[in-house]
Amino acid sequence: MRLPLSDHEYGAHGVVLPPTDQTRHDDAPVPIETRLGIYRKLQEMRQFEKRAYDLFMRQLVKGTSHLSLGMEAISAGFGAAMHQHDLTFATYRGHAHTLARGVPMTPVLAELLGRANGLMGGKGGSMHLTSVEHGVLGSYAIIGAHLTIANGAAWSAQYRGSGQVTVCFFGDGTTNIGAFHEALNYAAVYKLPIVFVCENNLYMEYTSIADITAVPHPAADRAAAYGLEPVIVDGNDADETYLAAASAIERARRGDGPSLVEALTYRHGGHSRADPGKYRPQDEVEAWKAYDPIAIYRGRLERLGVDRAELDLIDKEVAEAVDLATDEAIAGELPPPESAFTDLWADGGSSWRN
Amino acid sequence: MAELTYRDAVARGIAQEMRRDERVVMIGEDVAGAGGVFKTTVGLLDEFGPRRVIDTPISEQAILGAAMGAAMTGLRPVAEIMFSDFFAVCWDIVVNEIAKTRYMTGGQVTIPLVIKTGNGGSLRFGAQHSQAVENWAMAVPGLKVVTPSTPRDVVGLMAAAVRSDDPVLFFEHKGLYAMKGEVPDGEIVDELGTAVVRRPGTDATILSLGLTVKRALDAADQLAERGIQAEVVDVRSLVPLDTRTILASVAKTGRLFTVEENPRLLGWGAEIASIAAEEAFWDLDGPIQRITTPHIPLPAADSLEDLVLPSADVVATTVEKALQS
Amino acid sequence: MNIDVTMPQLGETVAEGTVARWLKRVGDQVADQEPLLEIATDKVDTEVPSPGAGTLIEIVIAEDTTVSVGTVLAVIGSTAPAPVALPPIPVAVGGGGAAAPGPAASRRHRHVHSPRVRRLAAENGVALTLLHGTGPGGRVTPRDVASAAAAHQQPEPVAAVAAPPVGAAPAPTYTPTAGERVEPMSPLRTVIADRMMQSLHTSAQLTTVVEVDVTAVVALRRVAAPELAQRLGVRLTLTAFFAKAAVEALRTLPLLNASVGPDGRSVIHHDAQHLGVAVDTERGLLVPVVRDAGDLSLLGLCRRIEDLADRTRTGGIAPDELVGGTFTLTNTGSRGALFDTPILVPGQVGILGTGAVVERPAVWRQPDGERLIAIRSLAHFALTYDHRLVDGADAARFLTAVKRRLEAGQFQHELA
Repeated sequence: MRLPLSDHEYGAHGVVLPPTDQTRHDDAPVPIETRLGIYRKLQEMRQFEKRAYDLFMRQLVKGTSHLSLGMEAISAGFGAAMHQHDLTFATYRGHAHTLARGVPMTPVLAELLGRANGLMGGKGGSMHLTSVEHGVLGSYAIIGAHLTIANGAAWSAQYRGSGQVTVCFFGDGTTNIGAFHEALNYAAVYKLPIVFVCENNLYMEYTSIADITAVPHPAADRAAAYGLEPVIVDGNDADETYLAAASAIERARRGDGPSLVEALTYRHGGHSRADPGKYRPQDEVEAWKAYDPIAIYRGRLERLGVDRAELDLIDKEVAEAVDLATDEAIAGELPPPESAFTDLWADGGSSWRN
Repeated sequence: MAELTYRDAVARGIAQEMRRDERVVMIGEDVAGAGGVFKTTVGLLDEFGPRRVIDTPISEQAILGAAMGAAMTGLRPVAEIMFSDFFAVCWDIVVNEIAKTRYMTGGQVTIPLVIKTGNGGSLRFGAQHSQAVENWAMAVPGLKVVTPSTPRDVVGLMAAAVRSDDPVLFFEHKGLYAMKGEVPDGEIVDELGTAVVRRPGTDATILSLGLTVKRALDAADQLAERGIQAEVVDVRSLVPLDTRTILASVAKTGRLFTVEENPRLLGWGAEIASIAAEEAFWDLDGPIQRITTPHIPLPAADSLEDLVLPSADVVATTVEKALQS
Repeated sequence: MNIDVTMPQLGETVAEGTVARWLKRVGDQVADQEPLLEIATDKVDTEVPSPGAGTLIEIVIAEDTTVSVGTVLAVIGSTAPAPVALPPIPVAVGGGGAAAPGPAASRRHRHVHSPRVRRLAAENGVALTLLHGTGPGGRVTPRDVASAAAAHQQPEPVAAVAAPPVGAAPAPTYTPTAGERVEPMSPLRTVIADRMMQSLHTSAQLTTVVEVDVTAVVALRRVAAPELAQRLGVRLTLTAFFAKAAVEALRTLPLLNASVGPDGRSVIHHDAQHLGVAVDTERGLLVPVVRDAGDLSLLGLCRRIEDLADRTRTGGIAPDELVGGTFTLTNTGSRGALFDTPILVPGQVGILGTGAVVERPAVWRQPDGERLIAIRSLAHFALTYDHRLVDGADAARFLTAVKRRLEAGQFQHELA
C-alpha cells in the first residue's frame, strides 16, 4: 500500500523546478506588435490582481477570490492567439482569462466589490466573471463542469459553421474528476473545434498534484486515452504559450478536432485569499518566483531592443488604468435591491407561480 | 385526429419543432440509430439526419454540458437523460450550471434547452430505475418543470418547452409510454405553467401529476358512485406553478388532496399544501391530505411496487374517509 | 377525554345567557347532538345540543343562573376511543396519513368548525352554535351556512331550530282560465322573489340620485383599454372605475357598509368591503360578491368582477361566492335606462345603481374657470339606502364622494 503521506511529510514532497533559460524564445516568430500587446496584457493582469489583493486586505472585496499571480503568461498567450469571435470558458481563477479577452478592468473590479457597475451587477462575483460581448462565456467554479459546457459551445460553432474556436481553461486538479474524461472523449468523438488548456500549477488546492495523481503529467499523460497528442508547454513563457495556442487553435479551426495543452506554471500565492501556501517547499517557491512571466517577457523585449522607456510607459499607463478602475469600482453604487429578483428567467423576472 | 401512444407523441412533438426550427437538435444515448431505448425518438434520425440527431456516449455530464453550451450559443437542444434516476450523476450540470448561469451573469446568457427524461415507477425496474424525481427539480430556482399525462399534452408541452427561452426539464412518465390517446392533426403548442381541470367536481379537489392523473380520475369515478363529486386537477407544470387554477379549485370544493408518486418527504404536493394552507386557509373545510409513495425506495417485485404506489383505490378510500370525518 | 359544554354565542349582540332547564341529570348517558339543556337570552330561548357523546359527569351552572358566553356549563366524559386505539392505516396510504385521523376525530367531537365554515358564518352573520350540521357527526358544512344565509335565518336565529307554525294558511293557488297558463317559478326566481319582498318588508328604503360627469374616465378607458388588453389580458370596464370609486367612498363613509342588527336596534359594522355586483344571467339576476374589494386596485377589481361575472353567467360560480356582500353595485344602465331605484340586498344598507352613460351638451368648467357648453359623457348614479340607519345627508355625502372621484378621473397610477 502507498498512501500520499506515507513516504514524506506534508509539504516535503519532491520539488519541481522551472526552466532556467529565459532566452529560449527570443527568436520565436512572434511579431513585435503582438509581443508588445502581450506585455501590456501581462502588466494588466499582474497589476490588476495585486490591486484586487490590496482591496481584500482593505475588506472591500468580500467572500473568496482566487488569484493567478505568476500564471499570467497562459492567459496572455492564448488571449493574443484567439480571434475576436472565439469563445473562452474560464475557471473560478479567471480574472486573467477575462482580462485577456479585452474586458475592461472597471466592471471586473466592481464585480469583485459587489457593485452595480460590476460585470454582472454583483450577482456573479469573482468566480463567475462573464462577458458575452467579449466572448467570455463564463467562469465556472465547479471543477470540470465547464469542460462539458465548452464542448457544447464548440458543437454549436461546428453546427452553425461559424468558424469559432472555443478555448477552455482548467487546473491540474480537474484532470482527476469524471467530467474531464467525459468531456475529452466527447470532444474527440465529434472532433469539436476546442482547445483544452490545463494550467498545471502543481497544486490541487493545498495538496501536491503529484501526490494524488497516477501519472506525472496530469493532463498530457491522459491525452493518449482520447487519441490526442500529449502537449506540454512552459506556461510562464508567453511566447511559448502564444505559439502553442496559435497552433492548437489553427488545428481546431481547420476542423481537425480538439487539442489538450498542459501548461506548467506556478502560483505566487496560495489557493485562495485565506491560504498562505505554506505546504510548498520554500526553494520551489523561490525558484518559480524568480522565473516570473513578466520579468521573462520584459527581459526578452529589452534584449530585442525595445526601449525601456516604452516599456515603462506601458507599466505606467496600466497603473493609471488600474487606479482609475479602482476609483470607479469603489464609487460604484450598491446593486439595487430589486436586482436580486431579476434575470432568473428569460422574461427578466424570477416568478415561479401565476 | 390520430390515435397516438404517449411514446410516439414524444417523437411527434420533437419532430414538429425540428421541422419548424433548424436550431433544434437532439442528443442522447441511443436516441438516433436505435430511436431511443423507450422508442420515444423513432423516426427523427431518418427525417433530420445525423447532424441534428446525435447518439452520445454514456456520459450524462457531457450530454447536458453540451446541451447547455450549445443553448448558450444559439441552438435549442433537446437532450435525453434516459432514466431520470441518472440525473443524480449529472445534477451538477443541471443545478449549478444550467439553472444558475443566467442569473449569475446578470442575464447575459439565455439557455433555451429541454432535458427530456423517462421518469417514474410502475414498470418493476427497481429502486434505481423507477424514481419520480420531478420534485428535486422543483426545488432548484431556474428550472422549469413539466410532466405531461396524455399524448396530446406530450406534443403540446414539448413544443412549449422547446420554444421556451428557459431550461425546461420534461418528465415523461415511463409507465404511460404505452398509453394511447387522441392527438389532433397539425401543429399543437401548449403553454407551460398551466394546470388543467380534468374532471370538474364540487366536493373535493384532487391534485395529480403524470402517472397519478389517471389514478385520480379512476378514484373520482369510484367516489361519484358513492355520491362524492371530486374535482381532478392535472397539475402538469410544477414550475411555473398554476396556483390560480389550484387555489380556485380549493375555493370551490373546500378540500384538498394531492396524489404524488414522490416519496413522502417534500414531494411536490408538500409545497402546494403549504401554499394552500397559507393562502386558502379560510376556504378549507378540512385538513389537507397528501397521498404519496411511502418514504422508501421503490421495491422491484410487482406486488410490492403496486402496494406502495398510490392507487385509485387508496385515493378513493382516503378521500371518502376524510370527507366523512 | 372530557368535553366542556359552554354557553354558546347566540347571535352577534348577545353576550350572556341564562340556564333555563337541564334536560339531563349527572350520570345520564348523552348522545352526540342530543339536547342537553335549555337556555334563555333576552331574545332567544333554545336548546343546547351535547357537543359529544358520553356521560354527563358534572353540571357546573345551575338553573336560573345567568353567565357570559363561553362559560363552562357542564362536563361530559367522552366515550370516544383514545387516539392510540385507532386502527392502523395501511402503509399504502402513505406514511403521513396515519397521523391525521386521530386529532381530526377528536376535533369533530369538540365541534370545532372548519376555517371555511367560520369564514362563511362570520361573513353572513350566521350563529354557528344554532345551526344543525348535516355533515358527518353533525358537523356544520359550508352548505349548511350558505343555506342558513340564503334563507335569512340569521336575523331570527331561533327560526333555525323552531318548528313551522302550526295551522299556517296554505299558499293560495290559482286556477287558470282560457288563454292562461300557470307554471312554477324556477328555484332561483323563487329565491329572488322572496328576497326582494323580504327586503322591502324589513327595511326603510328610499333612493337619491346625482348626475356624474364621467367624461374623464371614459377617455381614460378608451386610451388605456387596448394596451391593458394586450399587455395584461384585462378587459378594462367603466364598471371597474365605478366600483373603485364606490369602494373608496365606503371606506370614508363606513355607515353605508354596515348592517342593521337582527334586533333592529343595533348596528353591525363590517371591517371589510365585500362588494356585490349584480349580474344579469339567463336564469335571473345574481349578485356575486367581490370579497375584500377595499383591498383591490382598479385592475384587481376589474379582473375579479370580470371573472365573477363570467362564471356567474356560465354557471361556474360557487354558492359561497353569492353571499356575504356588505354593499352592492348594479349597472342599471346596461340596457339604456337613465336611472332606476334599486332594491337593497337584505342585510345591506346601500346599493348603488349606475345609469346609462350618455353624451349630452352640458355646462363644463375648464380648469381655468372658463365655462363652456361641451359634449360631455354623463350618467345618473342612484343610491338606495336604508333610512333606518342612513340619513339623506349621509347618502348625499357618499354620492358626492363617488362623483368627485370619478370626475377628477385620477386613475392613471392605477393603470401604470
